[in-house]
Amino acid sequence: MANDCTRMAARISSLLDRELADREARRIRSHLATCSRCATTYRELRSARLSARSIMQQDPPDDFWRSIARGMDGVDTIAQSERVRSPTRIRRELGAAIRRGTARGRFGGRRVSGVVRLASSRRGLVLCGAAVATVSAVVFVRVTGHADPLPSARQPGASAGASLGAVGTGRPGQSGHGSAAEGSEGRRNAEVLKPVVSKGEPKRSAMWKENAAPVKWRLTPAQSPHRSQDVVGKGDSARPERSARS
Amino acid sequence: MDDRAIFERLAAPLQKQFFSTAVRLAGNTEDGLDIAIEGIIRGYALWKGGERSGAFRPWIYGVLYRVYEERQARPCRPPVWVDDLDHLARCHRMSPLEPCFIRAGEGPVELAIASLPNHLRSVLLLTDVEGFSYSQTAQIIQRPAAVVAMRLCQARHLLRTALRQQVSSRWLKAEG
Repeated sequence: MANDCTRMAARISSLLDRELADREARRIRSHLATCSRCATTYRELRSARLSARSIMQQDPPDDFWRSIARGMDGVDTIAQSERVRSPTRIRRELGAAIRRGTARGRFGGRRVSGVVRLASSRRGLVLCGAAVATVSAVVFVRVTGHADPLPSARQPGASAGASLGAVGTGRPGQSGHGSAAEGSEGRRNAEVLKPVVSKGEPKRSAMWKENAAPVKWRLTPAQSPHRSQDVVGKGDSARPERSARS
Repeated sequence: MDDRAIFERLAAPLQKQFFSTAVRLAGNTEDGLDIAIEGIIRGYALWKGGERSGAFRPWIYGVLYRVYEERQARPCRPPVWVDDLDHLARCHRMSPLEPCFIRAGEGPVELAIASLPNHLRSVLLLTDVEGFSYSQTAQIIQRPAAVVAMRLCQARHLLRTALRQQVSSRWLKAEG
């Protein structure tokens, strides 16, 4: 019986709050009807519960709600400033400006420079890409001597390895002279410009050779007949005259 | 009606209960005031951010309880218990922020509740004083309902014992 009372003591509290199932509550009530000790516990716990419920509420200070209102003002201010400075908002506005193709001067309160504005528009990206491609092509032609940067793509019979080797060494004229397997157009392009040793100022590309002789570029007569004939004709006509005079 | 107006309309009627619970949880008026104000402001910030679930009253009490628990985790002034009113009368320098249990004209029940351990007192305050159900109290303190029932049972038994001792001491004083 005492063991039963010990177990009951834990359930009496839940019985007071009606938090037990009906069957469990009936069992405990029947036990309370027979056990005076548990019945006393039940009465005392009930009075303690009623006493706890009867304690008075305290009045807050006069400026209680005023302090809370000030705090809520601060929360509103912070929320608004975070909304203005939100990176998500800045990204959204920037994306909308890019879609429009015209970027405004300000994104989320931040001033954007003209370069960023140009780079953030599609037209600006296309222009930048075209400029880079043009400069790359000019540099390629000046360094390697190829008028066509992709000869193997035009000439199926041309050796890509030979042209790549010429590009890799970077020596002018070697792409035409070194490989017999090159295509005719590739050879013609390679033979258009040939280094000529002269006493003038050395070219930068000729400094790659071991003896670093000064190099001058000229057109060969075979590949450019009209221009070479003109040049040769002038030279031929001038020299006999000079020799005849002398 | 904007968010703030709705929140004020819901929270303003609860300020007295809110303050009383915070003071009884903290054990002194000053900390209780801080907890109550911080709880309502934090509740408003969460409300504004859309982080709200269920009924308003258990939810805002849950915010209050979290503020109280965070304050418990960091060191603060210990609660001052004075169980003899004559001792208070003998005090020469009494702060305006004296313990609430003295100022509120409390009886033995207040002192008995104040003498309970923190984890039992909070459950007793929420369930018996504020009238929350077991499930609501479990939601507020973020523990299972069985834990709430067990703590409440222990708290009531301790309260009964404390009340019995106070009654017997008063009866002895009256007899003497």
